[in-house]
Amino acid sequence: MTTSIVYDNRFNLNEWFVIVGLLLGVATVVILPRRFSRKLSMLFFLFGVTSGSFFDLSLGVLPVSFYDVGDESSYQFMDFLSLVMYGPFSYLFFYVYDFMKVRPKYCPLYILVSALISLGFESLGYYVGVFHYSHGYGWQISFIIYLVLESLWILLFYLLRHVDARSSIEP
Amino acid sequence: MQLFICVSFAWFVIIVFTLIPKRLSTLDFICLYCVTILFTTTVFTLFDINFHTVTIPRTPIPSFATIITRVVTIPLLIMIAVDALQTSSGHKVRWFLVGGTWLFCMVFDWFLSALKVIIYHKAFLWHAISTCITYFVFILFAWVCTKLFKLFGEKTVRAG
Repeated sequence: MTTSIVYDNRFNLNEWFVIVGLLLGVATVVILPRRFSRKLSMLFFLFGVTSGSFFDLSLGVLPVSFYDVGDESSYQFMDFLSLVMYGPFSYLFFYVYDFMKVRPKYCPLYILVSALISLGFESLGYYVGVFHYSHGYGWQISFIIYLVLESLWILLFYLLRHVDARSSIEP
Repeated sequence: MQLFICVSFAWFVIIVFTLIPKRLSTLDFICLYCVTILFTTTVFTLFDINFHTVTIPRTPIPSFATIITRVVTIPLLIMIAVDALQTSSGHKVRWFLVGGTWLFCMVFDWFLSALKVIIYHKAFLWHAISTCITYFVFILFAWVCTKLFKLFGEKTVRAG
């Protein structure tokens, strides 16, 4: 049985980071002109939340807790909000990719820039106390995860766009 | 052996999933998978880290077996159940399929406990009832989300 670690027990910068980040992200998603079908937009938003929950609650916890999110190592409501915060990130990732009409040969460059931006936000989260690393975990491992994950997202982007286009043609 | 059994079982579920006739579209399935992963990992984490009722040994083999189960086996079983709920065949067939998958999920959870992939900390009856309720809620929640997602798409078609 694991014991809970308390990092902080006040409503401070890390909670504000999550709330402001989430509100700004959702506002951006709502304000931006629509580029995809409703279903695709929803899925692009969900990809971030799902990837976040997979990494934060499975890989981040098992076999050892490589990092904790929020004030405590146990799961809190604010941790759930921080998962939702990943949604606008993934949506914007797909949105900008489609908006810029990135050609496949420039994909790796786009993924690199996006991974660096993600890393920047994660570092900011680390400094305000949203993330607490342990067991040697650090930004270098996150960087690899971003590169792999965002490459997978690009693959899914083409696949889903194809499926969506096909389903809108079919009666 | 635990990891081998869990991986083999996950692969068996993948085979069943690919072979059964499906009603939901690819996009519906992807949404269902995302929602299921989000909901199940949250609930399992709460059971493990917050309530300490069903914990996972922090050793590599049970941990990886748990990850495989969480990422492949359980979402696919729930997807099979929700897809069965969409079938146009009679009510009896539909409920038999969903009930069967629900029962399967519960027995699988007890099986994981027997394998020591997860550890129950209360009386077996308590876990039997909680597993029963948990999987029922998982399937119900996934079904509601799929319904909403499909409705979402239909609105786009009408609006377009």
